[in-house]
Amino acid sequence: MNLLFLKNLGLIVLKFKEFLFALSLLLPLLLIGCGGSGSSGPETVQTIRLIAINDFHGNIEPPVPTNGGSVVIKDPSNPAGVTVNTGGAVFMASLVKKLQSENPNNIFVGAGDLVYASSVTSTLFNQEPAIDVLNQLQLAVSSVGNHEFDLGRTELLRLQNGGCFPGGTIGTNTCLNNGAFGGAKFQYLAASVVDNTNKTVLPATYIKDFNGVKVGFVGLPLKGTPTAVLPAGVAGLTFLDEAATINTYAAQLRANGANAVVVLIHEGGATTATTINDKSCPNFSGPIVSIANALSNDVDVVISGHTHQEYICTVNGKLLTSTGFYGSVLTSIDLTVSNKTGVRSAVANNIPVINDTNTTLPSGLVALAKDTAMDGIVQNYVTKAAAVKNLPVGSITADIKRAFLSGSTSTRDESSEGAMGAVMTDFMYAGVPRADFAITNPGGVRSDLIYAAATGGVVTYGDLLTVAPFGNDLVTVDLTGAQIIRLLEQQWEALNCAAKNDPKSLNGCGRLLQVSSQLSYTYDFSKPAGAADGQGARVVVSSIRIGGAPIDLAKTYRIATVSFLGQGGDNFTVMKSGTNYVATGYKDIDAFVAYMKANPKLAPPTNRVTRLN
Amino acid sequence: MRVHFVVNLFFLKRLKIARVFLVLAFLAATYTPSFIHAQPSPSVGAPVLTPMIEEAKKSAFATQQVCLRYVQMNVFEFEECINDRLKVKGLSSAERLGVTYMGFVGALSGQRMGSQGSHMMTWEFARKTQKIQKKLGLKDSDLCSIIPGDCQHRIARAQLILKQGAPTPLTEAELSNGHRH
Repeated sequence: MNLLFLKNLGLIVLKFKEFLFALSLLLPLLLIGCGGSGSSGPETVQTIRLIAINDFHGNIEPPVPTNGGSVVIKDPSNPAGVTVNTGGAVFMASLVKKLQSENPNNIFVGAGDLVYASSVTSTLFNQEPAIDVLNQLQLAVSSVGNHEFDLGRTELLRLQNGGCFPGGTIGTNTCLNNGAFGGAKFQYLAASVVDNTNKTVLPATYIKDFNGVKVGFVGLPLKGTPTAVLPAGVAGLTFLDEAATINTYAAQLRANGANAVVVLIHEGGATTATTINDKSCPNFSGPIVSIANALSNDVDVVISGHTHQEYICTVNGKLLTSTGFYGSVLTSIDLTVSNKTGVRSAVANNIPVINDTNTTLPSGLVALAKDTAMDGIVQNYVTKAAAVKNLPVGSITADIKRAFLSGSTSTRDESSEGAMGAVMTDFMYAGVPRADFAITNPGGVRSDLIYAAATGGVVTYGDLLTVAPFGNDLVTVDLTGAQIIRLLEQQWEALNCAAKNDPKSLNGCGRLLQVSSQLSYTYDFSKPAGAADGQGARVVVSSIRIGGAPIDLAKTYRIATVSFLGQGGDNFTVMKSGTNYVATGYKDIDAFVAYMKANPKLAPPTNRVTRLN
Repeated sequence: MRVHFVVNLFFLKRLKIARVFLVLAFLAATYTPSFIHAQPSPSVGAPVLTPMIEEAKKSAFATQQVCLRYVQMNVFEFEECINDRLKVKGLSSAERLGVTYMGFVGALSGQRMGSQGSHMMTWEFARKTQKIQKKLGLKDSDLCSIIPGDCQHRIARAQLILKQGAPTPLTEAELSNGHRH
């Protein structure tokens, strides 16, 4: 090309010597861009294994396969893939040890929601079993998630630093081991969570030296945490922007000599992958994408969570991973890092925690062995959980029962209203913020509370578990007034009339929803039951009261219930046509316990539903 | 031999030092760390889409933007979101195909992690997709371009699910969080 022509166009032309000079100035900058710390002395290169988990939610026992306890794996001999049962701390411990044994330069890390919204064994003992198990797994560091704030900052700090649960009974539901709870041996990080003095409530960063190569970690939850937990849980705290916070602390870590920077963040995305460990990362989307795209070159790897998704992706030149949920999968990341030039390679795999509940496994897959030490820890808590069921949680003044068929004392009548169902819906209403009323399906009321004069009517935790044994999630669904009328009519329409039809029932047939005290209405028994869907007309519309006011057909009401009914169970299909389905994160049993504690000497409630004719 | 390097900037061409730094800036701006393998470019070798598939693809993508985030420990909210999209009046068959296929693939995606409700939803949306697919005269492989991912696996799963028929609905105990009291 003609140089004069280029100059005339305003282009800059450098001679070769000038270019070499420029390159000599640029080289150190390139090294910094590669993640090198520029430390003096000989170069050291280490391959470091990161083992990662997120959204464990205290599932120390294997979750059920239909709820987080299975994964689909690609199988070369079967295009449809293979489903295997996964999870359980005793099996996870074996996998962690295997991964650790393959590389002594390792660290086990977490990305939040390790506790709360958890299995009942962890819930009964105020999350101490989950922390104990994670300590045994040698977890070193984790970000907090939104659920770590479920009971507020003070309780989070107790889980970190140790101490017995305030108001708990030592040896019964807290401080089970020698009357003490030592807290997490791992370090929780919360770089973006500051108090009124603008100080972080937990450390922002963590750094570990692997034989001359330093890896720095920044940990933080999603900025939207305050919208995901009760206000009391985050009172006085501010949650800062994720990317800006990460970039600030990543630069600090580099300045402090980190040769690689790993982000542990409780925020995530989703793909359209249909088997685990699909590294093509199809259709990746979600809040973590914009966060990752805003990260500086100081960051090498992002370990994420929150969305309960599993993926291995690359965004903005950074490896981005997540394991799914409930401890079914672990991520193994091998980072080759130089103390001069930073990260040279990053290879990740999501590895299923295959447990021993699989009847068959395809060739090439084997179940993990139970880890003996971990088995002892888990069984200790499972055994103690049985004892906790005798813990008093409230009292009643008389029997609180379900409705029974005429002439029977043991066969429940799901076509009628019962006092026990009324109590259940009352605690659901009390346990869910901003609901207008609560409902539950009569089949979900599994037992009665019987007054025992000898104890003054004391009710134990175990008693409540017999009434509400499912550990259901409490959800809310929005329905209009018109939809609520349709919902109530479905109680006696064809499907429910066929499903629950007993001549001994005072109502003949149907499933009568149990309702909280905020809803009352009358139905006319002289009108025919068993009409086709949409044809029923038993409810006396003018009688319906919600919160004491006549129902407004156009108004939208928020209904608290259990997830089973919330998504249309027991033929209440109107629930599926509702809007704004929200899983609140609260368990029915927790709300039940809280309600009984708040209402000592509880009397059987009066009826809310009136029958005409 | 003289080798020359060219940078396009007009106003500083007479300043030698400045020229050096301009080269630095240019190289730094175009530098990308290469220690991690980049994702393959989706456009390379991509098949030419028919207008019908293109329409379904746009519909699926729009549905993904709104609904996919609801696939979490269960697919109930995701299913509600998909059904809401199907209620939109005036959808063409191709647009409906995009929505139902996203419902199927999203539920299948949840099933890979044992998400609650995914067994039933994959079956329901495999049926819905098949119905529209037949109406439009499309083969299984014609759907592959609508949503990125392992299409051979999706086809095999859809065939298996439809062959097996309706799954048994989860009991209330199975719909719980699996707590063993």
